[in-house]
Amino acid sequence: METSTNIYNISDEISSDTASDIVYELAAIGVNSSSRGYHSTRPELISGFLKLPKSDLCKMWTHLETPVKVKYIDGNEDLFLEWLKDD
Amino acid sequence: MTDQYMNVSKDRNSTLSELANVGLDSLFSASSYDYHSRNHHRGRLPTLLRMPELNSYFDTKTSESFMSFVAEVRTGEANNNDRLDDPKSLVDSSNESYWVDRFKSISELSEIKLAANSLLRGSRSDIEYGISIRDDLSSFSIFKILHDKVMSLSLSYTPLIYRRAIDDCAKKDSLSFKIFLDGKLFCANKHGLNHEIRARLYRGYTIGGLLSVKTARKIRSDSSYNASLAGLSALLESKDLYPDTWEDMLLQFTDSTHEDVLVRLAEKLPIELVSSLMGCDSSYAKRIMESRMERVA
Repeated sequence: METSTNIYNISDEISSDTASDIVYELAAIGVNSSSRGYHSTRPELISGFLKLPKSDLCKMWTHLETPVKVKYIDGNEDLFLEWLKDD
Repeated sequence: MTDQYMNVSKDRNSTLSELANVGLDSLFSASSYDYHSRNHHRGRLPTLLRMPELNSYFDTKTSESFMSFVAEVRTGEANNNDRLDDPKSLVDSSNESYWVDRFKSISELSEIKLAANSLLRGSRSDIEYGISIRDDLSSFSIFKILHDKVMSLSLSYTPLIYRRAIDDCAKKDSLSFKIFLDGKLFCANKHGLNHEIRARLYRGYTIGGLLSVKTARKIRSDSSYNASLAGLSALLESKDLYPDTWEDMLLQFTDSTHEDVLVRLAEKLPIELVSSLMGCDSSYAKRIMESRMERVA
């Protein structure tokens, strides 16, 4: 029987820098997938994603889909405005 | 390290892990995969399958659909020279044994027997792939399991996996194949083998190098043009297997009652033998024969 919810601690298993790129890529795929309407919504995950440090976001960014990027910017409006003011 | 920092780090790791799990499920889990992600990231799948770090995750995935999907990815990769390896060295070739072992465990003879019906319907690509990557299974046993199932279901067609099993067994275990078929294929009642099945078995028998002048004659006398033609076509392709008797065996067909067989002979017989069709009943075959002779003259 296949486990439907498998919280497998992938970031503990993977320690090398190269392999951790894969974790970020998979995490981005997870966010993209969770954000789509036809998937079961996982609000707690999305909220966890929005709270991730910027250094993590930076590594996920290129794999994120545009609606997710917009959601992140929207969820971090203060930071975004601060960045705009810096110009 | 402060407690506060450790909590943040734990939350962050747990969020990343959970998201990565959702990502993996989107790509691999039949219950939750999403078509868009799977297609968009298809090029990454072989790399993920080769990461031993993910084996604990893959261990939890045991369904037919998951294994069939992995089989599909691996077959696609094997057929694709443009492999999308990660440029950095993530590939641990030892992980190959992980997948080989998993596919072996689902393709034992007992499993093949249980799944024979589904295999013939083409819906067990996981087991099919398992069979294809192992060389320790008796090709005769696989052929026999599938043959018995084809007979018990009275199929009027020959599924692809059954055709492959025939050819494989005929080449790798020709003696068992011959002993099994001699009593069934070349006797008067044909033991319920319909013409489609006889056609495939004649082909297997011939490409397995088992044909004799006597059995070639029996194929010539088959009441089905389809079966007889299949045997002849296989013989025409197998000259190297019968260096001494090939021509004699071909000549057994020249008085066939099936026009399609005579026409094939007229088209393909070596030119020095083509005149042996002179007395045949097919005017079309004769025209082809005459035309070939004129071209040579």
